[in-house]
Amino acid sequence: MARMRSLLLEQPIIFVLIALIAAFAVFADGFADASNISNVLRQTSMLGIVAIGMSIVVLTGGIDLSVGSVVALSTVLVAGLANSYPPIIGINVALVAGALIGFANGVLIAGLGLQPIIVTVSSMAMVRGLAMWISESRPIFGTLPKDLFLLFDGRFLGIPLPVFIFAALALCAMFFLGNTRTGRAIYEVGGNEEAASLAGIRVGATKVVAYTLCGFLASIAGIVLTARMQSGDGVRTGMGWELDAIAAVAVGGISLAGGRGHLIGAICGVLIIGLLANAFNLMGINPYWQRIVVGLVLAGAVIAYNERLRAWFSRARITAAPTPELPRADRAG
Amino acid sequence: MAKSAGSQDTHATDARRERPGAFLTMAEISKSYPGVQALSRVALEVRPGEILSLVGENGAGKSTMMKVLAGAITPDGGEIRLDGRVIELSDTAAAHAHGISTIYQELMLIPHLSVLENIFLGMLLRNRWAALDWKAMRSKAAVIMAELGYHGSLDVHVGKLSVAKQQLVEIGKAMTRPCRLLIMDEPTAPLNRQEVEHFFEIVRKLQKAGTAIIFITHHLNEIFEVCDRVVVLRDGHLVGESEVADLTEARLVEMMLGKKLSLEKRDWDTKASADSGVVLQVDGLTTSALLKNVSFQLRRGEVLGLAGLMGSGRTEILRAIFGVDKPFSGAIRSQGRLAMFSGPSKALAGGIGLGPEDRKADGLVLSMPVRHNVTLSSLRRYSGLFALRRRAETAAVMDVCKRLQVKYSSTEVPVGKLSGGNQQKVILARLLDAKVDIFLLDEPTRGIDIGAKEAIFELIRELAAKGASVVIVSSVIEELIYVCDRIVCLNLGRVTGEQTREEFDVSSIMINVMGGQRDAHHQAEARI
Repeated sequence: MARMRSLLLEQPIIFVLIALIAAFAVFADGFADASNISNVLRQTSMLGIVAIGMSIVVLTGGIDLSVGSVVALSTVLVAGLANSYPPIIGINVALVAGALIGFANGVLIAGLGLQPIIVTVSSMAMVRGLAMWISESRPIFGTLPKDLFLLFDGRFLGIPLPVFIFAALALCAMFFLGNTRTGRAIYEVGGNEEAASLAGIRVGATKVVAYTLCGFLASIAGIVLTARMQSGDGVRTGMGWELDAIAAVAVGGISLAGGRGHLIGAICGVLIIGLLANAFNLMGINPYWQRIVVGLVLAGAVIAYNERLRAWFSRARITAAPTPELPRADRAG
Repeated sequence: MAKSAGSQDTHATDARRERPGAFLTMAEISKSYPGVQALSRVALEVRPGEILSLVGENGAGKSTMMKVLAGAITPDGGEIRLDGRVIELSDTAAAHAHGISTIYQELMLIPHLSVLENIFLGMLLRNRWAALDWKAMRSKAAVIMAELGYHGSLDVHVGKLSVAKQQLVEIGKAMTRPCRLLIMDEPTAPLNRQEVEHFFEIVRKLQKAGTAIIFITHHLNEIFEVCDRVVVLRDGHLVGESEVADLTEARLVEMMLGKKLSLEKRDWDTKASADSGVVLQVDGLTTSALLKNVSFQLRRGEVLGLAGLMGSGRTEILRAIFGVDKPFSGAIRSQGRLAMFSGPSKALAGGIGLGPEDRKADGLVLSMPVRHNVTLSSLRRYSGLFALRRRAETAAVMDVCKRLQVKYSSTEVPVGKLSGGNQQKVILARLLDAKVDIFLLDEPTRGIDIGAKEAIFELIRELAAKGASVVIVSSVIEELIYVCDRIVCLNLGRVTGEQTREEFDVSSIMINVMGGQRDAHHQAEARI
């Protein structure tokens, strides 16, 4: 319980999310309807899955710009293969492809010490090209089996299946980050790579795991997206998702320098972005405004998480009421 | 202290009569930082065309002094006079305007700009149409650099030059403006012997041209080779000044060390003796960059000190043992078996742990809680089938922290919030929890207060008493003498001396560390 409370205190974004929901429930007609809520969650779950992977990579101090392209490739593979094989084949091929792309990113970044942004920009271009080539730049409809669509339309225990998948993956990822050795290593590599390495952490392997997971999760998002579109598309799908995911991660308070933040934050970030879009639609606000407000939210979050600002606030608090934490002389040393 | 300063002052006054008067005088300069009096009422005179050496141990106040003159920090009190007039060195530009240039140990060059661009960085010449006058700059730079003995291209990127040449560029940069006083912080530290020779030639040339030079160095032979006068600082006080001609190595070291013994001498009960087993044997360790044929042994239950200054190879030795750097040649044996580890995780598995020199940069993940930092190297022990056994982990962390008396409000507090002494204890706790038998500790007491230092030393002795072996690297000789059973002295990548506890003698260790005596022989050989 104490852990829960400290988590809430460290994640002010949760309160922002709650405040937004309350505000929209009052001002946006139809927002609070069960069907609308479940619809928003369903729509956001795919970006959410991508953001989980992005969070893991960002926590190591890296970044993965190829996720949008992986989503596109994944839709193309699932839809393309579904025409001649049972859908499970396409799904598995997509998962393997996503993981392999992430693995390759990780190996180049960790093994050769290349900069993550350059490596993943190049794989973003290559994978997008591959997806367009396979699909010949046309949407793939064909005869997709109906049960594939269940991935998006279906429900499990009354919860829309995409939301269920998203929630399950998020819980798994939280468990992974908080309760396993590799998860711990991800934080430590991002927090101080040199110290982690000198303490015997295998930095390279940790990074490879992070990028592989990120690619794998992006391909899962692509599979769900295929079910939603009932087609595959190598050209338009996943466009800009890498940036939306990074925005969600940053809004959620995960430091882009690595090592700091909690997955909960990124999930709130995704939900905020999704809810804003939905509420603005319901209120009939010009969609251009949506982009502007998303930008403002991001800027506001980054300002709110600013270390200097926080230090200033906490100093102000300390001078008001000195905390008897440690003996003074000891702290000076 | 007053006595020694007084006697040296009479020498200095005698000499002053024969030499031109000082153009720069500093009087009553004080500077304090929270908890530290870095400088306390220090006076200094600089005469035209003299080479003045500023010496003192780490933390004596040399750098603060230098930064005051560079205009990088403003003293709390005191005055600086130039040609008899009081001047205000409020920023670096003011210092430059008064003809005072400073070259820091970390060169302030931009690697991706050319030599020419670096020389005129921040003071580009313009022609009458306010456009950059590269022609004038090029010809001016060519003259200056030729004077300094740099005959390479002015268009090559500075990052591609050797450190020695980069230093010439820094000096050239200082020479583009009228320079009456050039201050250099350990300029010879990164240079090899030939480069040092060339550097001294240049320094003498500048001296002949009337530029005064303040030169910080840790190498005794350099002081005696080029300097005219020495000013000694200790704990922020001026404790002596003397003409070099009137000085001996022993006298200089005595001035630097003073009579202070901040740590009371203690007799530890030592398990190690000449016949305890050797747990670590280093044979002829050589790296292409620095270490030359370093050999020593570490016995079970022994606390061994590696005394050396920055650039002596002390850190490199530990890194080589720990498997971070690959040695060029030589062998490391642990318990009789060859132990050339391919990386830290292997070394830890082999029972060797490292506490790095820079706690914050290399030792700890500051943003992570105490708990994570303590189990960083031993997490495997706390992982169950699926998840970490958090309860067992927390219990172990609390246990080891209690043993080391780490003060923390909770195991979940980010380790960056602890004091320096407690951070160091967290690193020890990590090594302890990783169950290593050989502790390699690089400057374990740097930047922590005296009480915390004693606590750390007590812990180290306790570890040794329980059969662990410890290597401590430090440049503070008194501390090594306080805690070690044996001290190996290092200078410029070589072993220059070894003493056991019964033989400990601060001055002779200091001389060995600063490359006195023996090193002079080496140099004589090298020159022939």
